[in-house]
Amino acid sequence: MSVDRTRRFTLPGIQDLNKDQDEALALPLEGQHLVIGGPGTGKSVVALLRARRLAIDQKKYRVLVYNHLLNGSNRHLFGSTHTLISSTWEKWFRDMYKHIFKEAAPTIPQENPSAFRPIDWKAVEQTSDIEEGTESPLNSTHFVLIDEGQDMPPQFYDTLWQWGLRNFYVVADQNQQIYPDKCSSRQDIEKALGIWVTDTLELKKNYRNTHPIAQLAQHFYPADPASPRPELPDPKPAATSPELWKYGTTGQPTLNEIVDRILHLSDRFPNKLIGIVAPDNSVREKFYAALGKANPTLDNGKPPIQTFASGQQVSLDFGQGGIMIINAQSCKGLEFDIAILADIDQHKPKLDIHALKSRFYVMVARGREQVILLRTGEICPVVESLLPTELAILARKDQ
Amino acid sequence: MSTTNSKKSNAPRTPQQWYLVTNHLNLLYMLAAGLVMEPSGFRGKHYVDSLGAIPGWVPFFRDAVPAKTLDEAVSERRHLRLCIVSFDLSEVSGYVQVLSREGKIRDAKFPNIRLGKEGIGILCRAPLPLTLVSRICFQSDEDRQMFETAAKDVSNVDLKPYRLEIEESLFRNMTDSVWPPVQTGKPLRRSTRQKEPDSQSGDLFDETEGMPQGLAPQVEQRLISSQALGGLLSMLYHCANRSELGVKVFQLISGSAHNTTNAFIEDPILAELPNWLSGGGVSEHSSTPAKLFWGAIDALVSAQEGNHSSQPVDAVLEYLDTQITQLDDEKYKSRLQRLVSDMRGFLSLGGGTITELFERNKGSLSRPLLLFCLREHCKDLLEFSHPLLSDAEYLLAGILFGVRDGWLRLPCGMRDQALSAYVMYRMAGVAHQKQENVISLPETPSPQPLRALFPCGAESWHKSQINAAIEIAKDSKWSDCIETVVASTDSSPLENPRHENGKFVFPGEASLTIKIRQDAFLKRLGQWPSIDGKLESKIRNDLNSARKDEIGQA
Repeated sequence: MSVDRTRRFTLPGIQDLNKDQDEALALPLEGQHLVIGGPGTGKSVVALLRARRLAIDQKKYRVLVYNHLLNGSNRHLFGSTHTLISSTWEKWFRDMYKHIFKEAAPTIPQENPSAFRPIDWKAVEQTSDIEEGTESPLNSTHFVLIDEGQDMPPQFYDTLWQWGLRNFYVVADQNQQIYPDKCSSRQDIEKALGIWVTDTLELKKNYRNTHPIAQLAQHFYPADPASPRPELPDPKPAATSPELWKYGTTGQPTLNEIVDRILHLSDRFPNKLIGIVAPDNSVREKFYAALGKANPTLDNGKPPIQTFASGQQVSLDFGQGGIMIINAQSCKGLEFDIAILADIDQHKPKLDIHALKSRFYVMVARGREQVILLRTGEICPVVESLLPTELAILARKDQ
Repeated sequence: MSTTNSKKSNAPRTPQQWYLVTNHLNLLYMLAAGLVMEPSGFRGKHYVDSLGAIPGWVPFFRDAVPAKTLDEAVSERRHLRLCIVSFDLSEVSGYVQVLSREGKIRDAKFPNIRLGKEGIGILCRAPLPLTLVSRICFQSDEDRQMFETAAKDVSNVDLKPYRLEIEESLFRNMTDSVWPPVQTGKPLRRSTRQKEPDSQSGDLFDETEGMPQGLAPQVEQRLISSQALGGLLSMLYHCANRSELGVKVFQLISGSAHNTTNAFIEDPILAELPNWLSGGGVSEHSSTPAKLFWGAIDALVSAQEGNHSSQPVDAVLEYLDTQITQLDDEKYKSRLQRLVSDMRGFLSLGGGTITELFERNKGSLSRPLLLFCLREHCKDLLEFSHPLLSDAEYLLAGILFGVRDGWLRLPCGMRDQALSAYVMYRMAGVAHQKQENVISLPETPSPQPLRALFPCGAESWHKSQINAAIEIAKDSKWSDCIETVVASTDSSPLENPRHENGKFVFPGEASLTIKIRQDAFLKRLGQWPSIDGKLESKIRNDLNSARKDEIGQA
């Protein structure tokens, strides 16, 4: 039986946007704006709605995101009625540098000559001045919207300002920095763009996740006062409470049984995207292989199963329901209808509790409607100690 | 019931413009909700404006508006823009309060009121349908653009039916009247079966009064909330395209049926719909599944009216959990336990496929409730089909989904103009009925589902219906609904054709007739998305004209 798995883009209803989001949307198109908020507070939705307005008005705009996956995800969230002009921020920056200075942006050499060479921001600062009397490559007719703006270094903002860009719309969350030493704090962005502290808007209410998921995410909240903690009601048991399943030991389902169940779940919701977030490549490949082999009876046939490894050039399709298996490092900013955190006991930064908590915080917030945690029989005391004990927040299915 | 239609009223028919002062975001919310509402209707998203002055009452100004209402409407956030909405209340009648320049209030019966030189406007009972809006005025083009841009950001506001105008003078025509009104004595109450006010009284504003008299205590009725009714009506309207049963059920509840009894409804749960809608709950002799289903709907409505933070599925599950403990019949008890367990696991790693769930849980209680968990919004249900699902089960699921989403959450694609007008009228009506308000609103006719124009069964279609069906099938590229008959002109058997460049060539003279395959056509008609709006409108017009012609000829 064939089934339409299209994940249709839908605009929010008027009731779905809260007053803070209304305000963030209503900021003037021109000027420098910073919107801060935790996962699920609707930062990206607001940025994309702004981009949509610019597209409708036929302005010269570009949405910049951290990585390819987020770019693909945003394209789906933007819908197909208008074309989203977007790129990864680093590629766009390198292209711009080359366009302006007719040479590649300075990079830091690596021991392995074929390894990726990051941008040398110190050298950029020294070489990217626009000569006096020359026309600025960017100007007040250009609009840049930056998603996950905390992940770009402060020099990135300084350089764009020097190049003449004046219209910035940045959405950011300091608690979701990928590499804190290379990222921008809220203050860095405010300083670079000349934004008064009081003019930075804060989104506080969780918008994306269901309450039970938001409660679990909040359990892992790293507590940085620069980004406000999302507001939530008290926890209550719910049908969609996040679940913890154990598999692969006596009396528990096997990996193959778990995989069959994931396929059943996907079959019940053919146009939902299930994201399996793995701690590393070996777990990612294990699930990809098991899902490939599994063949349970399904109403709608086997769903599309996609995977993404770092450096992979083939883009993923966020416009179709099915299953997507990615690593935890790639999941930030993405949104899945259902997120399954595979083999949670295998996450590595066990010595840095703050980093581990931050990772769980980011991973949990990927699920829009449901989050399921899977653990193998290997009990990891560090991970165990991080999990909430309250069943209303995380229901145990492995008892 | 005290809500009447104004066909029978003696209200004068001269158009009267009354002005409501608000901001652009409150107005967008009301356009989505279909009603001018009191602040509590905004589910926490009401920006301070004149609607909050006396909750439950909508202030309308006759000519000049109090300056303070303009300041107030944009006071909460800097991005708010002023707007003044002009209403035509000429077909509205009922009890109102007259507002004086000094901020005092007195009872009056609308429309036979005299404002006098001290009167600046009236307070009308909320909610009111947006069909009464005649135009929306802005102070500047920039404000209007901001309003239009904000409307484009959301899925449930359609500005097409409304006239947007820039009328700066309206915003300059202010009075220094007292605002908000001075509430002396006891506050205005919600329920208003009042004594007849003396609208001809010479003393327009009694210093000591200002409050309505003889307020009756609010009567508890088990009537559906207005938003839930709007969602329900809309879902039954759209679901009606799937089956004859659907058409008859919609006609029954919209008062457009020839047959006004529910005798044609075989399903015992669905048969309770008219009772339940009229506020009487389910009948005493109804079956346990019927009591459970409508009890679940009641629980859902209560949770929504109480603005509970729990998800709708959880509100229903909580109700069903309670019922399990109270059921004596072991057969029902174990079935309900199985259903609840499957409902709870809908987003979990268990449960199997939908076919397995439907096979495990049979009947018109279980399957709609399972679907309630398995699909999120009304549109998702309209796109869903399953061979195990009966027409009655589908309609019951439609009721659950409609109540959950309410009218507010329905996207523009589900709100055609005739349906919107009818739903707004019914939503306002049920709200006033619940509050026992004495108000008469202009009646809006019920729309007919598209399928009602193509009746199924032994009765053959009229030529205009066949032509309309062919036009729909051609335009929508439903090739499976059309067949072409080739016959010889003299009725003799046709010789075998030869095949030439993809064509059949018949020797001799032949005629060609395009026929519609009714079953396939009706099946297509029930699918979502429905046919193109412009085509639907044309077909309805064509069939209406043809019908008039037939009546004329007769």
